Amino acid sequence: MYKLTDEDEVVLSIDGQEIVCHKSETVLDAAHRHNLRLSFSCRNGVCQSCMLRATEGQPSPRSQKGLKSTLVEQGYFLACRHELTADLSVSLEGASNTFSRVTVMSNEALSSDVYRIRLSQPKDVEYRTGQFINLRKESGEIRSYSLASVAGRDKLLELHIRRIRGGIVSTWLCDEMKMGRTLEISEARGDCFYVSRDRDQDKPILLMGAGTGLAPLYGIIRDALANNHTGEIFLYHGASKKDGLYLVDELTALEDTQPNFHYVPCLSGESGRFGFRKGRAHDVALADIKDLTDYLVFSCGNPEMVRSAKRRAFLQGASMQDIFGDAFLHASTTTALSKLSNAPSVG
Amino acid sequence: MANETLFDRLGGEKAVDAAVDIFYRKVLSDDMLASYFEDVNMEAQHAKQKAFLTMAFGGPSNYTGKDMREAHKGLVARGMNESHFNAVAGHLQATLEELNVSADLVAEVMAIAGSTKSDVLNV
Repeated sequence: MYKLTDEDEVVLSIDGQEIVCHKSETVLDAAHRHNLRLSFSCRNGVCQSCMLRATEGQPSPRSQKGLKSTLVEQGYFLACRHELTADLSVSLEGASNTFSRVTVMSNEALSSDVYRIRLSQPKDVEYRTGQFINLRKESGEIRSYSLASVAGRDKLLELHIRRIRGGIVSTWLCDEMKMGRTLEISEARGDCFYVSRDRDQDKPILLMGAGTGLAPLYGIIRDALANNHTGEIFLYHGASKKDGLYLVDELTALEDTQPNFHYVPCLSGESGRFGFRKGRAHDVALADIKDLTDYLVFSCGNPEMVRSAKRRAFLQGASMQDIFGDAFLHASTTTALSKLSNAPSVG
Repeated sequence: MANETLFDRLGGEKAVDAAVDIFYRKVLSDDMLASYFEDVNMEAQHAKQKAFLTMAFGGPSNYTGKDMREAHKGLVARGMNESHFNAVAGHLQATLEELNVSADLVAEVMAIAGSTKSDVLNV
């Protein structure tokens, strides 16, 4: 639609709703002038309550200052800080919920209850290694699974599914979704990915995962190594029993070929087994590495574990900007900021 | 130096960045305060702590007394009181001392922080 605007005006689109703004007013001011409710608090570029995501157009560096690297990469910015100089489209939703149909290319058991499913990658599903997608069953149930594949290198998407007895989606996926079948997945989202930056290349990385929480970490490790990460990389992966671990041989082999990668499998339920540390992965890791100053820290697993790991990593010296992790809960909707802390469902 | 603001004398935004992790770690490690932080998103709260410190350091801030009052009303209803306020203030002071901030600047920051008391406690 052709719009007539003065030279001093720009068009701001908020989830499709277009408003005409004065050049140089901030996104926050423009929205309020039109009586649109955007959350805010300090109005000063610090509290991050007014964070939005740009879907078209470029937010100013000033409006992205102080935001975590993974958010900047996804186009998030602070509405109180971006002065409109050109048309901009933003979204209050974290990421759109459109689904694409993909084909199962392979389905193999990696252990007694973990399956690796590889999917064709549709053109409009771009992702960063370590993010997750929502998968929808025809009957409507949606579950979230992290991607284990490395974006730009692996041709297929890779998911690690734990087959939960009685689980509607996981049993369907593992038992019925064989090669050639199709299913629907959403765009990728999430905050758990490696951002390749010169100043981070020699930082040590700690990754902590429980069960199929290994999936994004497996991708992130290979992504970091492919980007010539020189810092030490420590992976602590845990399960309650030995058959809960998987990719053990591959990770052990990776240790042999990559001198800066260290693999520490942990067992929390068994009394002691040669070659495995005793305890929950994050407990063992956080006891081993007491000072996490300058570390990049990634964690993935059940919500309680991720919350605990993130909090303790911070208390042990890691910078808030360098702590990443997606926890899997029940999904909910609403504002951009709450979506960043909210999590997807699993089962 | 004439006309330098408190914020400048403390070191500006860099000083806030240096202080916020130390301050927030102290607050999170305090058992008396732990329950108030259990359900919050740690990262979002970290950003708010940074905004609070910016204000306490005399830096650019648009927080009003009403904002502080609204933000803490729910906590007051759950039992937050003067002893909690004093605990947080204590952690702020300890943070500044850990960063070797001179006593006169510490006093100025603590005065600003103290001025929020009635709003924070909704009295």
